[in-house]
Amino acid sequence: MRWRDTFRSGFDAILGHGLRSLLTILGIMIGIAAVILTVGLGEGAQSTVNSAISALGSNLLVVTPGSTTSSGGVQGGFGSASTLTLADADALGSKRVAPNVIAVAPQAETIEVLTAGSSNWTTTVVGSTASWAEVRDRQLQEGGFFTRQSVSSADDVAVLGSTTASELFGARSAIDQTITVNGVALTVIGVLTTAGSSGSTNLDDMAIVPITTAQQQLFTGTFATSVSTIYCEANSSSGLSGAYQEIDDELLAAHHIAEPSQADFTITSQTTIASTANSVNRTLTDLLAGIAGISLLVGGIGVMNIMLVSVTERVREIGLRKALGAPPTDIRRQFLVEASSLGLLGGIGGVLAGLLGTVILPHLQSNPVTISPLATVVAIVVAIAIGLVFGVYPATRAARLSPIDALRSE
Amino acid sequence: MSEPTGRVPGLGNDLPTGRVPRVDVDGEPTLAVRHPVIDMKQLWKTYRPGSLAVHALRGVTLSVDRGEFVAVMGPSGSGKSTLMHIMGCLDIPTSGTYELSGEDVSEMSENSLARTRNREIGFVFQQYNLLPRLTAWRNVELPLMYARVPAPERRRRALACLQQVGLAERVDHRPTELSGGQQQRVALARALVTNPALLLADEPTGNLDTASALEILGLLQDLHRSGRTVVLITHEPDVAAVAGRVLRIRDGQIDSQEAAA
Repeated sequence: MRWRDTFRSGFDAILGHGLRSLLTILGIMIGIAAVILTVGLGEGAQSTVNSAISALGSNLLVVTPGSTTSSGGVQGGFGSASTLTLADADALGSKRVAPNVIAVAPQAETIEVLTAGSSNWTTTVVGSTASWAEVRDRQLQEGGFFTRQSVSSADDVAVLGSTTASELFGARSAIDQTITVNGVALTVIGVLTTAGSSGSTNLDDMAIVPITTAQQQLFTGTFATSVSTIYCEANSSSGLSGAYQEIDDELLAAHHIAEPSQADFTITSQTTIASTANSVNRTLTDLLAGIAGISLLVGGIGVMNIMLVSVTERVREIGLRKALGAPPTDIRRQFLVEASSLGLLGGIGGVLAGLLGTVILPHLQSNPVTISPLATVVAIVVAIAIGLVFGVYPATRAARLSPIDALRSE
Repeated sequence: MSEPTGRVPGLGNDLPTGRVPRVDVDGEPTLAVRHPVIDMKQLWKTYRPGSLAVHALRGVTLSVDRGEFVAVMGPSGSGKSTLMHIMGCLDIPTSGTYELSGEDVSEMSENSLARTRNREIGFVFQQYNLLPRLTAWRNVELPLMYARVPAPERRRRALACLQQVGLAERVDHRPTELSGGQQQRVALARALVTNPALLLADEPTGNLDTASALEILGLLQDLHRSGRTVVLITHEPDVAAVAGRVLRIRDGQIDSQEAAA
């Protein structure tokens, strides 16, 4: 039988059992759509994470106090120590010590109550240097950032996040207004532009003050002397590893640590943050795709089931076709074409359902869903392959039927 | 379909004079080698050989010449169906030789048997065996699809055969829209469409009322008169009476051969 005739026979048979074919196609369709959407969700989440991380600032290295072994021999947790000081930050800012580092912003923060007139607002007060805005890649929507001069003279000034400013002053301009923190009056000199949130941190709800002001007047306890984070900006992305090395060497020397594995600080780059976040994402995506794959398998078994029913039901037809001269290969091919057509239709339906999902899903959850053309093509090919693989057994059974027995059956 | 088939049995046939003109459905004269359409020698068919062997055929020897109209008669259980299956290349004998149009088919593979059925044999069954989803002409073109004939020619030949059996007006009807007699005529057209060497009718009137049965038998006689070789399998003497020769089979053996009155 010619291929064209084989395909026509196959489609005739599929159309001849409309409802049954539709249900079989639905099985494949759901599986394909599930796979496409989970992979799309995973890719979407990954791009979200990547953009959130690049929002931290470009070419950024983050130095945090690492786990230390205290004198009691107790291993402290990540971030529990307060081994970084302003002096460390000053040292890293030196061109001679770290030529690949172009800007350094030490940061110490506590939660404080801000008061402005009759309103008050609890938020994070960040003490930092004049490089903060550059290093964190932030702009100002109003006013200006404090200068090196303000830092060295410990001026009583503050820059507010956009959320903080509107909470304290509403629609009024915050510039030149006075806020009070721990009894210290600070003049607002700038408001940051909106940046959204990075992970669980709201980047728009904070007040930034010169770190000297913060340590001398506002903060008590560990942050009166130490910093929680030192942000270092490398001169370029290719300078990142050089900068990493310079920071590592300098801090080890400054802290008198001979053995690098005993370091009391941790240097993290965007790439390491991104790869950690992405590996978590990947694991989740793989898990979900695995589950979706199982539903695809179930769809394939559905195809096999329907094809077996179809063969059983059409035993007489198969017998007749054989009597009229159909060789086993033609019979087998006809059923394989039927099964893979079911797969093809299911694949196309699944891709369409997946595309519909990309429109609907972003309304139901925060992550975007991206479907690549490659994934679409692969999905359709896989759907056809599933039809073929699960069609082999029924088709072989049909091809092996003896024409006499087949014609005799009622 | 229309070319002479098979090897010439090695008995020194004089080829040029051994060929006789044959008129096929389309009216084109073709050449065919003069040898019997059916030549069976000492055919045995044994089911379940070994444990409890059942001999359905016990040494059947028969021959049907080109252009003959032969009826095979016998009660049920006589081996009639087995003979028909082997004759129609649906099954192969356990032993003995069967030459169809001079070609030995007794040891053919399944694929070769399928090809031979397609080219050499036109079946007419008691149950019509039309595909219910297909229209009359689509049913008739079916054997030509397996012969890989292009679509336009298939349609032309299917329509010609339907006209020959008097159904030119019904070509686009589905089997369910046709009477039993009409359905059997569609089946007859399907049997003719490949222009086979042998028309094999298995109880073709078994499901028909008397009037339709007479129509079908009349058509078979017409086909015989136009040069077709017809083998009719039946258990009804009235039906067998239309044939030129009647073979009686009993207990797997040919009981007697007689010319019909």
